[in-house]
Amino acid sequence: MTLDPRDFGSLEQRLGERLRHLPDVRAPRRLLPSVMAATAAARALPWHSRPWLTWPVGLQVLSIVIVAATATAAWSVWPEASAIGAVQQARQASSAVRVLWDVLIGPIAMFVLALTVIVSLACAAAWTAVRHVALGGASHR
Amino acid sequence: MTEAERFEAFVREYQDMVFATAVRLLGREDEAEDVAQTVFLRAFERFATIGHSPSAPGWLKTVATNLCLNHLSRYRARWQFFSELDQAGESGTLAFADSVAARDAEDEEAQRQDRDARLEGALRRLPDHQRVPLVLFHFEDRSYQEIAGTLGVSLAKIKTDIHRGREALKKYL
Repeated sequence: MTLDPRDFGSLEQRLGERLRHLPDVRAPRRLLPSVMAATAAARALPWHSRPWLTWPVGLQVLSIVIVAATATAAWSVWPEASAIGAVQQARQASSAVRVLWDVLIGPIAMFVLALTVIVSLACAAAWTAVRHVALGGASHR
Repeated sequence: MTEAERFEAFVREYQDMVFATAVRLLGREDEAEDVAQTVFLRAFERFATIGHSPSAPGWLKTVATNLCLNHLSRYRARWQFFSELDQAGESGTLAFADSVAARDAEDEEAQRQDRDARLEGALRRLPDHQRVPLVLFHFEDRSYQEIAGTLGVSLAKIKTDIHRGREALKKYL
């Protein structure tokens, strides 16, 4: 079959016109009762078991206020969370990371990197082989 | 009017549109019904916001479309749907068109169907990789470029698949 560009436009227009004027598809009669049953079951759940979006507006606002107040309180009460404490923690963490790198990771870093690259390439090759050989004909009904 | 009654009226108003979107994308009524129910459950969760919004139909259609595309990629294991390796597509489509014609010729019930019903049925029987872009183009008014981006395939493949889908449907015009 060859794709003739001259056919492309006219067929597109004719088919588009027909498809646009197809009669509406009717939903099955059982769709409405099943949706309403599912929503009734959801309504029967206590408010705290439902998705947050379905909570009453007052409770949504209250929950936001409580979370914000808790976060603020935790920030102000926890002394190490101050700016100075954070800088000191960052220095300690960077020292620990440097020691770990020098003693444990540094000596084997190149080996680990090479191994990672080799394993990744092997996985890609295996996936390509599976796709071409085993799953090649699985897409057409 | 209670909230439940308002939601029931909402579902009654849009159920045909949502189901039509789903069944044309999925090609199967049972799966389309499941997707339509999920769409309305999501609408129920946001009913306070979208219940009276003029954008509700668009929102429903977008959610239905996205759920259908997720469903197709997740549950039907169509490995080549998103791939460029559709070597058998051309001959397969011609064989498909012939098989549809043969099926219709044999099936007296199908012969009694009117032209629209036969076109609708043929559309649903198209292979997924042709039907989905065709429906997105003709029913959702998306451009080739948008469809290619949505489905994650090349523009050339989308154009070819849509053209083959149209060729398969041509005899129903």
